[in-house]
Amino acid sequence: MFNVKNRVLKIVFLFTVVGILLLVVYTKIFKSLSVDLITVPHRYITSVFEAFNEITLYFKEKKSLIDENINLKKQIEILKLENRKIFYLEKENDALKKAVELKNHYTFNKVVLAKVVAFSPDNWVNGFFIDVGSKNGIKEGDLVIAGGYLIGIVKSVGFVSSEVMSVNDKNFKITVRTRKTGEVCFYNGLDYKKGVLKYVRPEQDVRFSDVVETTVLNSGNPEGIPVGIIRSISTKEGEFFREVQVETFYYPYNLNYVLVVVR
Amino acid sequence: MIYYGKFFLFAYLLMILQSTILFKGVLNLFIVPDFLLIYIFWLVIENKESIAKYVGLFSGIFLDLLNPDKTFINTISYFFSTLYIINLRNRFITFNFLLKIITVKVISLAVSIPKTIYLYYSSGILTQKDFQMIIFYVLSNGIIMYFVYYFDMFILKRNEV
Repeated sequence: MFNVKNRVLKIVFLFTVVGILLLVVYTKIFKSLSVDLITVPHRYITSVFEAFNEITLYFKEKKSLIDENINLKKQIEILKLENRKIFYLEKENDALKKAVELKNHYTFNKVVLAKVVAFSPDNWVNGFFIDVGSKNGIKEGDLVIAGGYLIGIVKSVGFVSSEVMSVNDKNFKITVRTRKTGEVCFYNGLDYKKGVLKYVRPEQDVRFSDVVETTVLNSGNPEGIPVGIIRSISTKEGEFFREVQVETFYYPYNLNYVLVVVR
Repeated sequence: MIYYGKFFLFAYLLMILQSTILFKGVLNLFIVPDFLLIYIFWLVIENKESIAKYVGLFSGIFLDLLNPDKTFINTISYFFSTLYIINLRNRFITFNFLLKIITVKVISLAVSIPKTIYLYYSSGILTQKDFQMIIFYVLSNGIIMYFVYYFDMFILKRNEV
């Protein structure tokens, strides 16, 4: 009897356990609970993996970005260089255009375009060297023009190069006349962008802001080339001649192309 | 011949350097340092006195040839400067850094003052710029000497130091 009761209890227990298991397996609540239980740690695990992937990707991309940046910088530098080259060509073109305009305006016999290649090694000499010489027909005493103004005179001529004494040199002397009144004076270089008119008598009509230009008195040189503009007229006490200062246009720091007027 | 030729060639190269558009055209400098004078001074210091005399003469003549006027002022001033340097060199047992700088400045004055006086007599004009030129010339040569001293001491004679 006792055995039968025991067996029945065992079978009931078995069915109960199976029932509970079936309930656990097939009930939605437990399923979702179990899913949640399994996915929550995985979510953290995957987020760690993702972070790791992101970090590796960042390093990989950083390298490629750096490489790309270097390439782009290189391209920018090349473009800048090209831009600078174009800018330089544009400037050179403008300078040459001006020179051609001047040549057409004055109708000189012969003009030679020259490039300034060097400056005087002596600090006490205000002059420069140009890349044209006797081969191009240059002679001593030829006038040198830049930007429409006289800037010097050829002093020594080589076969392929020449030396020019600038209008600012203290030993630069030339006979000039004033454009408005036609008074003939004697120009002498003085200083940086400065010259003086020497031996100007009190009765001579020399006016402020008048242009000083070359005359025919200069041994066959063309006349009318402006040398400078009168900037001050003064009379010193006890001196007969007036002191007249002229602003010249020789500027060595941006000198590139010049015109040589061949006689 | 090659031994002597290289000193003259170097002087010629320095003259080319002095006349390049680098200083006035590119750097927009008021004055160009006198590398030739420094070179002559360096030759004397290095006990090459006879070569220094010839290089001084050569430099002076070359500069006079490049002068638009017919003059001998550079020949005289450079040659006599070389003799002054030799004289000063013989008066001192050793030439330290300060003495070198002072000597270069004194010699620069000895070169620039006769040139200024000559220019005044030839043109009859003396401006404030002439005095500024002397000052800047002396200072620029002193600065170049400073660099030459360090180049000589720490690069050329590094092993001896």
